Amino acid sequence: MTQPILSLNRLTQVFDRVTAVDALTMDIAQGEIFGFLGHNGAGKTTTVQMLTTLAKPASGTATIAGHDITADPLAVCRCIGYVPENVRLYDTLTARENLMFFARLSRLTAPLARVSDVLDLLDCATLADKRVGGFSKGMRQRIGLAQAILHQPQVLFLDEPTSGLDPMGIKVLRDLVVRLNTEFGMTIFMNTHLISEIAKTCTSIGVLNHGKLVFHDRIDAVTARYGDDAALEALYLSVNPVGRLAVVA
Amino acid sequence: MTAALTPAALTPARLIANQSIRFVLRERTVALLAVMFVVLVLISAWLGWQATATVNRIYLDAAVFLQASGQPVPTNPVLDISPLSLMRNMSVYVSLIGALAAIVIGNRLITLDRKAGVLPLIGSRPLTATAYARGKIAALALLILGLSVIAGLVSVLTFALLPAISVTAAQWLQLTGFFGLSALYMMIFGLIGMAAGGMARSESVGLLVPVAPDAASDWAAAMAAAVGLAPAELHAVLHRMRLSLRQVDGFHVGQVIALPGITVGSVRLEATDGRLLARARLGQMAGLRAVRVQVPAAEMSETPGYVGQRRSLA
Repeated sequence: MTQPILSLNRLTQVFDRVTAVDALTMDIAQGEIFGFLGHNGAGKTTTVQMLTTLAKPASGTATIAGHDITADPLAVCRCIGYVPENVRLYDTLTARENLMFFARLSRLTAPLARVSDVLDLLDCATLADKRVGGFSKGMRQRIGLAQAILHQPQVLFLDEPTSGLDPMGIKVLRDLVVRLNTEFGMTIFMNTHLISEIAKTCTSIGVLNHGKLVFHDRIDAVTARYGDDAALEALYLSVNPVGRLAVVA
Repeated sequence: MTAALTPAALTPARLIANQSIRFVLRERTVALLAVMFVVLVLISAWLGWQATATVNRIYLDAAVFLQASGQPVPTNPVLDISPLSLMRNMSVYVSLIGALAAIVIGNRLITLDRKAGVLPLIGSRPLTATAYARGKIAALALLILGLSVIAGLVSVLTFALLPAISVTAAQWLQLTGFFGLSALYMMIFGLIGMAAGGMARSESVGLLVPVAPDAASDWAAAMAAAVGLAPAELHAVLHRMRLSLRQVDGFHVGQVIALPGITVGSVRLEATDGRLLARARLGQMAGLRAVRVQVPAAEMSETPGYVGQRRSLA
């Protein structure tokens, strides 16, 4: 394994005496597209919230690009991008105005040029001067992705990025994620409960079950061992027997 | 790989302040209150001027009459009072409309991001919570300062344009002090509005709390009172028995029906669906039959649906 860009060490989160994330320990190498699989309520979003510094862990720690999430959250924020499950933006502003705000918040040089570049990159130039309030979920997701990559982060966190998208929207987003990884070398940490998403996009997989990491391996090793999507599904069920499963054909 | 940053760019706090001011100025409620505040300052000047002019007119008429009748003419009372008294109504408007405008502005500054749902995205940017709060407070201070400056300019123009009014340097200083104090006064209400906006779960409660601190608890109490007035049917059951139709058909006046195993302590208080709410004891009160509620914990805890009703029965 190459040098890990993301390293979790017994990362734990507790809500009202319920352990949502239980001593999560794993490394993710630079350039990976990591698929974090688990049933609803497994603790995937909580993990991402801790890694994106939105929530403080109850115990344990994690480093992203060498920066500790609790000791140096600002440095962590500088090298990550985050797209939540439901992207919410200022509805009364246009896509460009929203992106300008986040670009300035990231203290970019020439934010206007960077915003235009990112809009072009994500094929959203036609949406630039339209108010976000009228956007579909797919459009919002793309503008959400745009705000997350404005500052060219090293690690991009996507929380259920394809949730609620139509098949075309899913394909567009999947292609974008792969492109960001291959062309710009971004490490992608993607929460999902879709096995097909993992099989088509990811280079490594982790399975979370009730806050515990029950499986973690490279996807090529898994497919070599288990074969196709159906076998991956069987693997998921074997390590996560009580989890709810969603498979997109 | 990380994009270049610029030290010349706005600080995050300033950026938050700029963005917040832009948003708040687009708010209809805020714009309406701000306009109302300025209009009331103008009205205050007009009312003051009208009152002074009326007194002056009466004095002049009286002076003509007194002069004609050869009596001494006293000094004009208008000249005895400070010209600042023209704006005396303004202190009332500042304390009422100014405070209300400040509360709404403070509240909106906080709720706009919550309402838009952008806090997770802002939180994942390199911005400390302190910088965010500083930005919001700076926005509040600038907006209140803006309101105060506009109100101040209206006053200055009033004094400058009204004829026969001369304001001394000391009075200008007093006027400046008044607007400075007004700004501080409104800032306090603005901060209260911000705090309420940050803590309240809903926008309406966030706005209500600073205006009527008891509003939220009053509402809860009123709701509890209203719910408490709903009719509740309760059955006091001494015994349930199964009889054949023949036995029931044979009932006659004076017949004694035995209730095997039943004592005065066997009364069950039941809901209409038959759920046991409490056990009770048969007794009497003021010559009438009554039941005394008894809640043996061991028995009641076994009853589904009992939890939550216990407090009202105890």
